[in-house]
Amino acid sequence: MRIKNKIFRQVTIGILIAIGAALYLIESLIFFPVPLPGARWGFSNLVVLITAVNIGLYETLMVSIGKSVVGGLISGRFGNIGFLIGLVGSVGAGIGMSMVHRVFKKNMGYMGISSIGAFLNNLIQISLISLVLKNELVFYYLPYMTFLGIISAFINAFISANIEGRFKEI
Amino acid sequence: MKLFGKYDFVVLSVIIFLMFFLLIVRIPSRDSLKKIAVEINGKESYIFDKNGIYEIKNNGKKLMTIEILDHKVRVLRSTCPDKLCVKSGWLKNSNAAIVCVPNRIVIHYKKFPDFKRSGIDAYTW
Repeated sequence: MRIKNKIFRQVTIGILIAIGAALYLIESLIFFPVPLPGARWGFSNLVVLITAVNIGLYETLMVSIGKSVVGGLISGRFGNIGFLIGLVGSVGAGIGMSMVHRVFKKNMGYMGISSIGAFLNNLIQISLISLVLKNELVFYYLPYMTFLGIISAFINAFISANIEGRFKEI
Repeated sequence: MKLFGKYDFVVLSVIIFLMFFLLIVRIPSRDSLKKIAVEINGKESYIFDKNGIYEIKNNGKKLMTIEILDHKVRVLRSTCPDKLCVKSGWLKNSNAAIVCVPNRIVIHYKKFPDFKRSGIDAYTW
């Protein structure tokens, strides 16, 4: 979807950030079995996925930074180390998903892009934690996080594929 | 765009293969489940091998309280905001670690003889 109207673009980004922040808040209340800072289910990456596939790279960056900052401010995690790790992970995943969509176009469906995004997010987060702690033992959690990431990637992809038709009607 | 495209199954199988590869690569070493090391800021600050309740301090500041029982370890109290280290419970696996990022603390089983003192700069696993 090409958005030419400037105001329309700003409104769209604003709506997506608001939905993302709400999902961020809800998902931080759900129990996540991996005890690492910044590790969450990743349902709020739904809006990043929708933006990466349907709009563009610049908007994806705006949405992924925006939903983390607004969600962090509401949930009281702003400036926390877990918040910073989550922010970098979500921005990295957004760039990755946008690039993958640009390279593969129609050959890659929502599921592929979503699972690449989830894996990138986990990899970036664990690498950052490992850098901060100067210890490589945290990579122990990577396969478990990947497994949980595939589950939430499927949920995100399923919702995005069903939303797409209605999203274009706006 | 559809839910599944042409290359999706390739991507999914690569990620699932990577997951199982990472799971299999680790071989737990049973004989090393004795000593428990506490790293603060990348430096090994404490080594415990007896049961008891210990306090972890850095520069005179109390950071957390850990309990060791039968070569297992858990965090009882911590000064970090999220308390993820307390929630992670008992540490039993020699490849895992209890992590507290705000305090920069890693609690793990001491594995190999200390390579750093034997002249080797780094090792991979």
